[in-house]
Amino acid sequence: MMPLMMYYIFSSAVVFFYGIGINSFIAPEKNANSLLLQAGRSLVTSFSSVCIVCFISRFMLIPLKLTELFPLAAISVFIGVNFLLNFIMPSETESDTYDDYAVPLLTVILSTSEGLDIVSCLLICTSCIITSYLFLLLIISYKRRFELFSDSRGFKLCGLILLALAATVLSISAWNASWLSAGI
Amino acid sequence: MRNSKTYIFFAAALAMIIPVPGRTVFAVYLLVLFNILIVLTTLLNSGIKKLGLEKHDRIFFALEIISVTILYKQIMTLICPVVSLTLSFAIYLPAVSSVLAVYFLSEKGNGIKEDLCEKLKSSGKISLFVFCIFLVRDIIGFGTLTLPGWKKIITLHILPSVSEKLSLGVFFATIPGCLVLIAVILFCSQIFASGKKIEKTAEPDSTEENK
Repeated sequence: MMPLMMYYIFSSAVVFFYGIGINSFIAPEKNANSLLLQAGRSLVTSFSSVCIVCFISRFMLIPLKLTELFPLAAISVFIGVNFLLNFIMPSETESDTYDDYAVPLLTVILSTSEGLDIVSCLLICTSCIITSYLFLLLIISYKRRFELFSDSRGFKLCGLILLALAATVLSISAWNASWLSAGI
Repeated sequence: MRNSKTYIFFAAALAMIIPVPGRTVFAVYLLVLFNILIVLTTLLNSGIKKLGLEKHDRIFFALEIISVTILYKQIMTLICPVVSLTLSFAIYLPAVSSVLAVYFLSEKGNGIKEDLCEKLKSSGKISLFVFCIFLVRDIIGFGTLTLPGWKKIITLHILPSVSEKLSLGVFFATIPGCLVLIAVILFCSQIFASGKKIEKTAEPDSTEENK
């Protein structure tokens, strides 16, 4: 259980190796409350969607040999769950939901595609959401750090953050030094 | 910053660059899908507006993007199974992220023609940038140029010495290498753009020193 979660949080972090939520590196900063609320919403939506998609996949798509259609099932279920959640708990920022929409949706597709059973699917889903929001915190800390010494005439913040992200990916995958060997 | 063109550009480009291996052939298949989706999403948006269903536009967009991507993946499996197998479900990530980024964050034209022109301009620029990044990664990283072929990938060995002797180029084919490459491009474009401004501000200082 823990190795699987650690793998998807650090070794194969969805933000760095799949690009899910990488767009948020340049998005405006949010306060702690809205970030927590957004994380909670994403977790509830994706968690419940994964449960239903796993069920549909196991009892309908696999017996009918229609596994290629699982993203369609995932999106349909996700839309339904999201609609229900919006009905129960309306979003505060209706127009600001591009990242809120894309990240949980892609997480559902990723976890149902890579998980072997419902438990592993749920673990992957949780890890992906955790990583996405850890990444946001990382970005906020990078932004604040760079803003301390950069001025408007200096290098753009975006470029500095990209370099910092490159260093982070390198530190995460330091064990992978295949690019040092010739002939690969 | 939210509505700036830089945001759209990098948001869409990074979502396509990161999950896909650094070979030109993947970029070709991916960019064709990206542009098809942009056109179809714009047309769908026009239909949604006419039907007065703007409130639920995200639902229709998401369904359309996923359905078209599934169909495209099946066609890709017929044309080149190797690419389809390698991309696997990764094809859905750029499809959703990039198209939604371009769609929701770029300026919206009033009419269907204006809207289509605006979106195609944005997608064209992003496509060119992404293609160039993949081209650089392919040539510097592996010393090859990969092109799509019928049921296969055509590989042209442009710089054989790169892959055999010099291994550091492979760094640019990896994800951190790619991020470094984009950051360097960003810095270079910034220096190039602000070059004239620096010259103008430097001129009065030098005249004051002479005095």
